[in-house]
Amino acid sequence: MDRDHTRAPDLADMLGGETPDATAEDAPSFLSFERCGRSFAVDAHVVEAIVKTPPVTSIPYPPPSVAGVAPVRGRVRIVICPANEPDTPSARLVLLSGDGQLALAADRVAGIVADPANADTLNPEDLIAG
Amino acid sequence: MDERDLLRQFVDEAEDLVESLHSDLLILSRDPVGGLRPDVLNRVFRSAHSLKGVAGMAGVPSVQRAAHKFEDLLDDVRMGRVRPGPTTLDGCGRVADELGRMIAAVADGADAAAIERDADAVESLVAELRSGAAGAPEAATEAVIDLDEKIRRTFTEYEEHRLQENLNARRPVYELRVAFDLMSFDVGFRGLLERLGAAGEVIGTLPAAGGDDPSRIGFRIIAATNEPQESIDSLIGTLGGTASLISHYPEPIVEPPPEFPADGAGASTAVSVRVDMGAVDDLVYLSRGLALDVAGLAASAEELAVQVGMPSRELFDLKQRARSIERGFSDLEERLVEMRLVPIGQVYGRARRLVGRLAAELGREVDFVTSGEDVRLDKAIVDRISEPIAHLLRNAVDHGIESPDVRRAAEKSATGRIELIAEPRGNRVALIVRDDGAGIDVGAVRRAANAQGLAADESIEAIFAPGVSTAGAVTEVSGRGVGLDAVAAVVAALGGTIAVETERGKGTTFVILLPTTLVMLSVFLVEAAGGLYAIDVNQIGELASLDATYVERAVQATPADCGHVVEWRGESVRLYRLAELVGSDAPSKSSSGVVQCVTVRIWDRDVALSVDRLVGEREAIVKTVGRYMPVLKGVNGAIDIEGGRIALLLDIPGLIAEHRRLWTAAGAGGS
Amino acid sequence: MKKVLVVEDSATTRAMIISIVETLPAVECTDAEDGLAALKALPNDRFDAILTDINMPGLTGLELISFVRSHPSYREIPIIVISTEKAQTDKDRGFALGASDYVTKPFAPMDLQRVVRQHLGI
Repeated sequence: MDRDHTRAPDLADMLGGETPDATAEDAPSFLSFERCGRSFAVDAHVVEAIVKTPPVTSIPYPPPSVAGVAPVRGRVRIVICPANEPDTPSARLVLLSGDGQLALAADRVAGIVADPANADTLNPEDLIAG
Repeated sequence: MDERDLLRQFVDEAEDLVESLHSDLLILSRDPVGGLRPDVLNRVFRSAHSLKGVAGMAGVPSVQRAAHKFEDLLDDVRMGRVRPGPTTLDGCGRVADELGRMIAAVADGADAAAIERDADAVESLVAELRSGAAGAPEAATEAVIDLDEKIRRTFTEYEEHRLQENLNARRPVYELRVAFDLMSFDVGFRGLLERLGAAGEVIGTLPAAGGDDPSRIGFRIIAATNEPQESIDSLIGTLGGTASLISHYPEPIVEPPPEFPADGAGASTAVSVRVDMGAVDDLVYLSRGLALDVAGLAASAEELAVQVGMPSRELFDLKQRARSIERGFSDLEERLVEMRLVPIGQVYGRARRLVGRLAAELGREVDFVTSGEDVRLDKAIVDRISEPIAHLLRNAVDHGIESPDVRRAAEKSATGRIELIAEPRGNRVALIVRDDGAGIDVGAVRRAANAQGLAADESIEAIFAPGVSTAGAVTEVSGRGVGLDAVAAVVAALGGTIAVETERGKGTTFVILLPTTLVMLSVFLVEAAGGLYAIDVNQIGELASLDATYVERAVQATPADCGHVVEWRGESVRLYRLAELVGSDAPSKSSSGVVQCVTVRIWDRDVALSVDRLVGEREAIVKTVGRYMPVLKGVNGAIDIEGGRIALLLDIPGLIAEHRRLWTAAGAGGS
Repeated sequence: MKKVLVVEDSATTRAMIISIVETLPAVECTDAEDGLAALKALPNDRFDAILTDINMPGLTGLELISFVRSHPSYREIPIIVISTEKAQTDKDRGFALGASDYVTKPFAPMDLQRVVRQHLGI
């Protein structure tokens, strides 16, 4: 219910009011976004929402890709920078569904694509484990 | 459905099924071997059956296979094809244990081949149980039953078998007819079934359209009971139904079989629903968020009220009302947190079986005594503490309790005693494992500690240090490379403490002190390296101010890997700069010539942490950082602070261990 | 929109069946955790099919089938039994009482979908 005013306007326009998970039917689709000048893509079915980045709290001994933790909608998310530049502030967080409580740092969300040919496709699990 | 969701749901349901296997087997264990209650036995069968089914659906073939073998055995027992012997129930308990371990391994993502081996173990255990039990001949019945073919056709094989059994036992069998209102029949119907179950056994039911009245639903119930027909008539009469005796025996009943007592737990009308723990946590967070909002709103309103010159009486009312809302939220929070609590007695059954099995294997005679079953703890804590408790019990049987001969020679009773006790201590819970065995050889601990390079004056608590063991020989039971250091690490990670007392020849007592919940915690907030950090107040010894130049000298004089040595109240204490521990290279701020410190108790000693500012104590709601929290070193959770900020709840032992590890790694790298 | 009543006492299996059946176009499921809950649910909707387990507490799948087949308003509803291979006798009884089809647990999603489509006529 709070999705409408927290969702990034750029994506809202592109999807014509559809939320990313509403497109979760069958065909493969990816959310593509930019971070530190590079293009990334993540399976759109695991995207819960996109929000403005709140203040990020840094953590002791972070793994190389982890910027810290941030409170989003009552839960604490682990903020991951796919470009491994955790110190560079980000504009948006791509929230991933599931009990991992992960969020990807993004500078700009490009849209939903069927084929992420020109982007690095991310497996969120690897980002934190590796 | 998402793979992981499916797996988690499977684990949830499978754990529940194993739990009910255990509790039903416990109920059966109070029945005579020859007279196991059929309804409870059937529930045991159904739990195994459901476990097989759900494992198959979730794609966990190892559990499916193991549960299938178990189900087959239980089916034969409930159908009277296999007669249980004196050890059958105990064996079933071991199978349930094994299944529980397999499910835990699945949940932890353990190696599939290893779980397959566990399934093999279950299979051979079941085969063993089969060979220990006897086949049962089907008794011939001379009874005549006056039953509509239509009803009999709806009977499952099991229901048919139960009918035969009751006829063989010459119990009177009734057919009851009763109709209920279609919209609300379930309450009355379930009540009737429970009542009949308590009086005897419900064999089968057949719902039917309610005849002329489409708003009613009719039932025909076949039930066996030794209660006099008048009481059955009056029971069904109050519901507007009828009862007729349909069993006819050629001669009068000589000896009625023992009545099956009502199962108190099963007959209760308590209703429960399964709630995902994460959903409860979300409600706790939400409640706390609303409470903070109300506090903020009240403060603004008060400010405004003062500005417009509101009379003091109304201002007072306003404050009162705001406070009452805040109190409401804090009550709500507490109730919600209570939903996470489960009785510690959940692990006692497993503990009892473990002790019994080990004592038999090792030739010990042990009285196992438990108390405090009802003491409640956060489910997350209960889940994580059960293995450490099992470890302490294994040690108690293996290294504590002596063999009967040795005990007699020492003029002790041949039977040793092991106690597992839970008791509330303020807002914490003490778990005590006590044995009256040989005690721990303190000298040996000291020598082992010395060999590990630990200081010679280390007390008995050195047994919690990694690599220190007192076991003379590596035995089958305890020598698995997991020592008391692992126990201590789990306890510390849960924010608890562990202590030991021992006397040669008299016995050993371990006391584990744990928080009741991981969600609601008193924390002390400190500031370091520009961030706010929270420390569990139960871990804090005292607050201290040290002279800045003195600390500076100590920091210069000693390397940081094991902390800088400072004198505090006449004792050497290790001091760490918290900023350094959290990985910041920001210089410490000490304008006033003093350094603020807190002392934190880690296992057996105090360490001092220097911070930039002591902020204060507060009741906090600790939020989890999710499944990947273990990846984040030294963090036990996060706490919301006004203004949308977060304070990390620190795991101080974890932080120090990580600090040392990095320091050593850097040293080894030649830097 | 076709309505399907799913009767199954295992929450996990129930959720799986529903997620598989609901991927069929224009199919909506109602769930019931045992035979009694199914009896409660029946008058609330016009169901196009019932999927039921057999071994359930309270009221078994066989008893449910017998009721549905005896009731003038429900007797035409196709009933698909979803149960394990173990209970061969119970399977035979299910057919004798008027079950329309039988799917063995565990099943492949495609198989269940095929059987359900067939009985829904889609």
